[in-house]
Amino acid sequence: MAIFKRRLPSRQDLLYVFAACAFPVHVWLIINVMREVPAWILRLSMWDLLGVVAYSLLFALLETAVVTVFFVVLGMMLPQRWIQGRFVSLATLLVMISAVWFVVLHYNSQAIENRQIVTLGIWLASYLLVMGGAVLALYRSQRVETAVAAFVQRLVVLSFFYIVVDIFGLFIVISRQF
Amino acid sequence: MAQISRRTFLKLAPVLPLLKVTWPQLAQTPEQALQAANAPNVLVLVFDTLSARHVSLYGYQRETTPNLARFAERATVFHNHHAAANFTSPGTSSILTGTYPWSHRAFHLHGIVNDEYINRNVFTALPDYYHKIAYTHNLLVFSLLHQFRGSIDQLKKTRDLCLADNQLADRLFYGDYSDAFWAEWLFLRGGATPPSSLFLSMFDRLRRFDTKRQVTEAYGDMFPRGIPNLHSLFFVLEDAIDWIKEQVLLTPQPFFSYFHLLPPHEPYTTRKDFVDIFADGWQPPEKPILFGSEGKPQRFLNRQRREYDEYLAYTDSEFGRLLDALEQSGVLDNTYLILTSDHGELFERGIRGHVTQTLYEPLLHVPLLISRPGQKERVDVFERTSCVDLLPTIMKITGQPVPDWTEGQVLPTFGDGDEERNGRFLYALEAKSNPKQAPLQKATMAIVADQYKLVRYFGYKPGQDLYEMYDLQTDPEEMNNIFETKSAIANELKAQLAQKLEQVNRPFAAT
Repeated sequence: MAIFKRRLPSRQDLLYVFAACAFPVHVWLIINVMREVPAWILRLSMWDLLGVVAYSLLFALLETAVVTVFFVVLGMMLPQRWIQGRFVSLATLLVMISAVWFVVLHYNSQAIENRQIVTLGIWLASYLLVMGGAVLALYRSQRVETAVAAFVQRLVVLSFFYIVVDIFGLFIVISRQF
Repeated sequence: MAQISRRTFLKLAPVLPLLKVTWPQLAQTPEQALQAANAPNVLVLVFDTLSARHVSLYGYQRETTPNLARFAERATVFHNHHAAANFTSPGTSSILTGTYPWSHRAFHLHGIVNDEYINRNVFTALPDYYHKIAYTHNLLVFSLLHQFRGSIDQLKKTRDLCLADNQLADRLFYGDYSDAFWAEWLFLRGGATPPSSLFLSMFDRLRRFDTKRQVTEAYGDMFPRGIPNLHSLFFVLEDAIDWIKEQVLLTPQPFFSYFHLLPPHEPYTTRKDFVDIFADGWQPPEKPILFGSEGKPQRFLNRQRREYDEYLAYTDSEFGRLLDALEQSGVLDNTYLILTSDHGELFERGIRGHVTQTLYEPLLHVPLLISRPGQKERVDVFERTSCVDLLPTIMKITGQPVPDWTEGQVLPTFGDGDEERNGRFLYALEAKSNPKQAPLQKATMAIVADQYKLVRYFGYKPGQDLYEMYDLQTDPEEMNNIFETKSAIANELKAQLAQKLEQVNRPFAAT
């Protein structure tokens, strides 16, 4: 139990990582929801529209939590010296790169449907390559680490605004169950 | 009042579920008990997307429905029965509420009816002594049934008769199913846009791949064109038919049951023994294009038509299996069996399927067969009827008054014979692009009177209404648009349609 506690990131680091995960998850959600809203307005009342948006926000909150937990578990599994003092920067870098590559994959989802091995292979290879390069840069360059840390600090305010909205969505979802 | 001890309560607790079943009987007055004892069962069987234009019973050249023909020998066959819309949500809502889409307003994909129809539908209209039971493979229909769940004694969840279940909304948010389902769908699967989940949707996709692999391993030999599915729910029709066979024997009588089964809805994944049974090289005639073509090549449409026909033949064989069981069990001696569909399917004019703004006959002309308890002779009805007529007919045959809110009337041969039918107009509506709570300004409307059918496309291009008119008697394939040549009749129907449109839009003008 003691080793478990020792390997767990600090509460502040956890909040930073949560904020870093919340950002791409919510930006992607908001972009897509906004594009769907005109169609929803056609068929939904305002209360139902609010309901669908609230469920979407709630799901985004859950997704943020899942991704955060993934990084916490990853952080606990990796050798301590690898992540000592770099947990937030490392997680932020990985989640941002992953976000970009997953967006690319979403817009090329036919490759998955049609099992286009070459396209998927290129996607995976470039993903791993860029991630490897970024991690290497993070470890070798103090400037990169500082830049990532500064970036995540700027994200916090925006991300926590998203989380407040998510909690508002949670209340709407709860109220709709009765 | 004597108090029940905890011990006594615990002893009695196991019989509480029985009370759920027997309560309606216990709560009846003697008069109601007598009515209940004499009341017939009603079994409504809806096969989704079953176009009468593909049914051999109605003259289709491929022998798609031998079992339907067998059933027809002991049923009333309606030859000119029409759906009120071209896809599931409005078509089914019209069957269940006895009203046209402009009234119930469920005319969007995954649409649900206006709140007032939660208390105006076939389940609420029938008395409490009817045990009401419902099931559907189609999640769009489940949303509607979920709206009416307060009046349904046994609403079986869609996934209960599916091979694999990837839904969460009906587990986590059952009380608010419709919106939760829609949000889940867009989050994990996407709509016009990619899924709104950045990461989890990809893992969900992998999970669905795995599900598909598993069911394909189990049933792939039986269904070489793929396992029947919709909305990532995989199923085999055999399971639903077996379940229905059980239910009609186990359900307390009198019962009203509504079973809405997905086949022959796409994907047309027929069973192995029906693959290529219609590889006859038949080329249906190409039809003129006025509006709404998707530009699908005729060759593609012919191939899809053949696969649909083969899937329909499989569906018919499963219906035959159910019919055998119903006949052998004697259930049909005190049961009305109603077979119909919510809408049809189209393989012409560059269009495949039913997600279209057109209202051609293959989309609207659906089968309707009703067998009365113990009926042995076939009766043919050629008058034009509508799906909104089903609810009044069900009320009539169960000895109930026809509600004044329905827009239909009792079907011919089931009424008292004094219904005014001459000059009756039937309608259909397609309004996916029109806001739900707004006057109809962008839609397709059809009116049918005697042998003539007029269709108006309006609001798609500002100031450019399109009309087409066909003589369904002499030109059932709708090859010759006679809107210009039969101008007197066209103008009469046009005026009638305009009057109806003004009437249905009036409530919005008032607000």
